[in-house]
Amino acid sequence: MTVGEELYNQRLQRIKTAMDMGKPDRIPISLGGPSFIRYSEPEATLSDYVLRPEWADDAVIRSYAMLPEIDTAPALSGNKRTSGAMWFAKTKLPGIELPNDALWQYDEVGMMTADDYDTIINKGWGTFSKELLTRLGYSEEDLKPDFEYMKKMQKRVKEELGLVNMSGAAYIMPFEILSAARSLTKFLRDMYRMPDKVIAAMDVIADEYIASAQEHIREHKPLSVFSGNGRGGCQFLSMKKFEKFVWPYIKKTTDAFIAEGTKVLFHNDAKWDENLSYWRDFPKASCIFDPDSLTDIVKIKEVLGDYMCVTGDVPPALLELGTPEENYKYARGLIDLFGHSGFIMSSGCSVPPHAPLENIKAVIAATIEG
Amino acid sequence: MHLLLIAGFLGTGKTTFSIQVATECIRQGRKVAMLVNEIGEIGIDGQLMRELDLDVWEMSNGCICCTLAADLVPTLEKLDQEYAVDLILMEPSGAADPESILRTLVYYKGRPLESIYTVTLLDPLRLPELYEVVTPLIVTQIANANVLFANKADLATAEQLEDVQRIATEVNPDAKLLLVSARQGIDSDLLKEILPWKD
Amino acid sequence: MEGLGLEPYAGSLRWYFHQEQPLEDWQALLLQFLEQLGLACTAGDKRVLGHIKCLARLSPGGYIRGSKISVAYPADVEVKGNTATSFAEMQLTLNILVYGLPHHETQLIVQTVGSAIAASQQGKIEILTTTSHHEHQHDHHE
Repeated sequence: MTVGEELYNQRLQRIKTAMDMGKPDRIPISLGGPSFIRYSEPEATLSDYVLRPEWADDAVIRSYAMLPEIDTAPALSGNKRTSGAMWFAKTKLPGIELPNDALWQYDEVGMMTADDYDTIINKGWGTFSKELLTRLGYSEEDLKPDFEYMKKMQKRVKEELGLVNMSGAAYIMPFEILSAARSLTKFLRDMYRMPDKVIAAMDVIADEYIASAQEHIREHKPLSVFSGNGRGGCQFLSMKKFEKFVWPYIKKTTDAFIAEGTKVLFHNDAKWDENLSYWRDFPKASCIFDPDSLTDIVKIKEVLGDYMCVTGDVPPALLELGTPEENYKYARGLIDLFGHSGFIMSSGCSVPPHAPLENIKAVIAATIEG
Repeated sequence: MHLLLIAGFLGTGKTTFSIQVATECIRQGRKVAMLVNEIGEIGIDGQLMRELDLDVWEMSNGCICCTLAADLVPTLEKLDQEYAVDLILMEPSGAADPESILRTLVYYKGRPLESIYTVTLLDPLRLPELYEVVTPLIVTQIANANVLFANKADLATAEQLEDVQRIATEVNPDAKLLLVSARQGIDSDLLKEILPWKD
Repeated sequence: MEGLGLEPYAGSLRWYFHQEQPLEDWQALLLQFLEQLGLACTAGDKRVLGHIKCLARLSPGGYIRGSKISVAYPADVEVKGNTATSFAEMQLTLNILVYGLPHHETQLIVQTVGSAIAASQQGKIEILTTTSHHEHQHDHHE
């Protein structure tokens, strides 16, 4: 067994124990984001992720080697040119459309039309989404993952560094994906004016997600699958609309994913304070709640703390603009709040592009002290 | 340096409104910088404003994106240190709640702001349906406003304007509600209402 | 902290004395002002100090600025540039960002704390402008 494999098993056990609401040997640490390229290459800019992705990935991996306390694998550069396709948005990139060190942006053009609800209902989500991506100008060739490269990098991350992927396939919940494909403004109007069509289309999407996840879970046995949510929470939507357009699909897909024997990691951006109690509908220790720092972490502890593993939630602004002392203090506060069981130390969403290394080290130091 | 936040849902006419506010400031001999952050329209807005000779700073991140502060604060600090700006006119994404923008000021280390003022634009043509669907967002945009403008008043029916009045009073009875049409031009006396200095 | 509301306060104050005060006394006064504001603003339940900061330009070409970011750490006051060694009046811009503190209470605290400190040194304070949470006052702007 290589050193990397040994580390991998140790970390896997640590993360699994936390996800099962148990007490691991220490609190797992999950930190990652665009800033990591700079820890080993201080002169790098965000355009390096776009213009020389293999070099960027290598720099990120070398940064993780400098921070061996982190347990989870980095998100590697992938094909940034097509990254907006995940949201049916156009992609604007640093070094191309944007300044060299600007963060990539997704331009929500709303290419889906009102008639397309029928296309989804009649032809299925998979067929329609391919059609929509063509409309957006993405070619099938552009979107094809480079499996050889991915395999090579995954091997490096797992076997050399022993880092663990917390979740497998990602499913952006029907409400979220339609609001992006159609554009938020138009989608809200559709919810108001043609709710039956919206619901029928979301039913189709949820069923296809479930079929695809069953296959994925049986083949790859991931620790969890990723359920992406953002606009469906109480920062935007009324509870009445949440109950009609958001929750039924979260519930249906999650129940099906859990039935296949995996956990579900809820990456919930924005505010969900008023919606949290719904998550108690799932079996204990079957989910992980992963907020982005906008949901009140104290409320999360109160409502879900004894029920599911929580990742939390050092705010990106603090990581980027705060001092190491402030970051240390925030991380300590999280440990005091959650204790050592069922908790994973993490940033709220990802670590932002200019977060100083000292702030990352401060969060790690607080966690290792326990 | 004063901060004026122009809030309001997507498509309420914030950019047209902001340009008129900025133009009025320039007419008064003030230096104004605009910060724009509209989802999907960033390039267009910025370009339009530059053509009008306004200093425009684009914040790259969208509404939900949790890295907004990381983008906004260095821009504010740069404006504070390198430009003698009288007013920062900030137009966040229409899907952003003003409070989350104001929270980022905690990290701002430049000179203290002389005033912080929030104007929210409402669209009478869509407000009742938006109020029913995205209730929390509309409530927070109205509740955080110092003054409310019902834009597109020239296109709205009397009934739609009554709905705006009802919703505005329900959420923020203290804020003054003014009817305008940014498209047709806003009276400079009304614009002076929201500027931090007298002519 | 994220669950608490934030109603930022921005205002302008004039401190004045009948006689000129040495610069060091002004520094001490500002330090005391920031410390007491920090305590008063966080006195209630569920209030978290975000940032309190202030700045005043000093003739002929300098400034005095102060900052308080945590009740656990002392406030910081610094003077920079070319400044008079004593003066009787100072106009101060003040920002208070405290989570969970309503704007009208902040206004009251500024008035109360400021007046008490000024009076203890035989001086006075005048609130020139504030941006209130719901109404905007234009008075005294140039």
